[in-house]
Amino acid sequence: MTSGYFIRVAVVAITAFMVFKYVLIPFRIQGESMAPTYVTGSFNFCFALRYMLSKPAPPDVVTIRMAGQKVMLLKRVVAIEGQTVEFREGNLFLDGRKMAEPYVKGQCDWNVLPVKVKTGYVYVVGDNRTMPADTHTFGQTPVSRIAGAPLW
Amino acid sequence: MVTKKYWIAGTILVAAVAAFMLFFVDWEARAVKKQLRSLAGEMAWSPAENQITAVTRIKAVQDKISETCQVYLPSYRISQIISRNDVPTYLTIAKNYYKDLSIKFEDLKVESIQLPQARAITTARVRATGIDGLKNDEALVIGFELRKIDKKWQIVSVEEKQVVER
Repeated sequence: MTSGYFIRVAVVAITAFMVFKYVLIPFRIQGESMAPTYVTGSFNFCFALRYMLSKPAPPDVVTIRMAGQKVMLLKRVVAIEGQTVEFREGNLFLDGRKMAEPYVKGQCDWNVLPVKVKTGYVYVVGDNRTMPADTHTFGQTPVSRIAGAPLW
Repeated sequence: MVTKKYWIAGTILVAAVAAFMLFFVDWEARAVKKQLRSLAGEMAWSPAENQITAVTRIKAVQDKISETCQVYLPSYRISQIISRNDVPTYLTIAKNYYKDLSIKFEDLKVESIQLPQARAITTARVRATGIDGLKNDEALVIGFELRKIDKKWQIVSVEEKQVVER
């Protein structure tokens, strides 16, 4: 084994570390809030450069940073800043208009009063609306919290 | 036989490590993290836990809390100031509600230290089973405020931070 071999190994190791730490962050989905689009136990990568040149917009699926990046929320953006979001009998209304959501399966009976999305925020919600609204994490989150998007 | 140059190299290496530890390791931040990780470890139980272990654990939790502690956890509908003496009561209530519980602090970061105070933030991964058998697995962002009292970091406030707001 030559010194060139060790240099190549070191370069590959450092590159892999940088890529999987800062660009393609591997994660495992735990929880049912994005079912059936993403099911618990499945594996994916968070593409951290996804929003370098653009802003998250409906119907993007995004990963939302918590205290750090070891545990993140996986949600779908349904509204951007300035829009008014409302749920009536399980249907999503944006600025008073009913929106089609082909990714939502199953019955939903959510009723959420209208709320205007603040500047610098997006409104996120999971695809699994069969679970009660009380047990589902959804609402407005700052764009700065969005770490990226799942690779597939 | 060890020659003089190896002695010198060894001494320089040890001195470099000592200097690094002295100047670049934040010992207070490490102590804060250790105290919080220890708290997470003590906030865990299983149905098989015996009484002696439970009492020891509760005492350990009490030791990490200051005389009074502000607790704000809207996810659990808790917003109150608790006294250190009340900790056993609250933990007993929690144990009657959850037959098993485990808490793990991920991404634990010390945000600031200005002696005698420190602030830390973490994602608390809470896994529990209710007495009705319902499983609860959630992640909360928790901010802690600690104060150094008698050379020990004690928690003076626990506050849940909103990641998404309705």
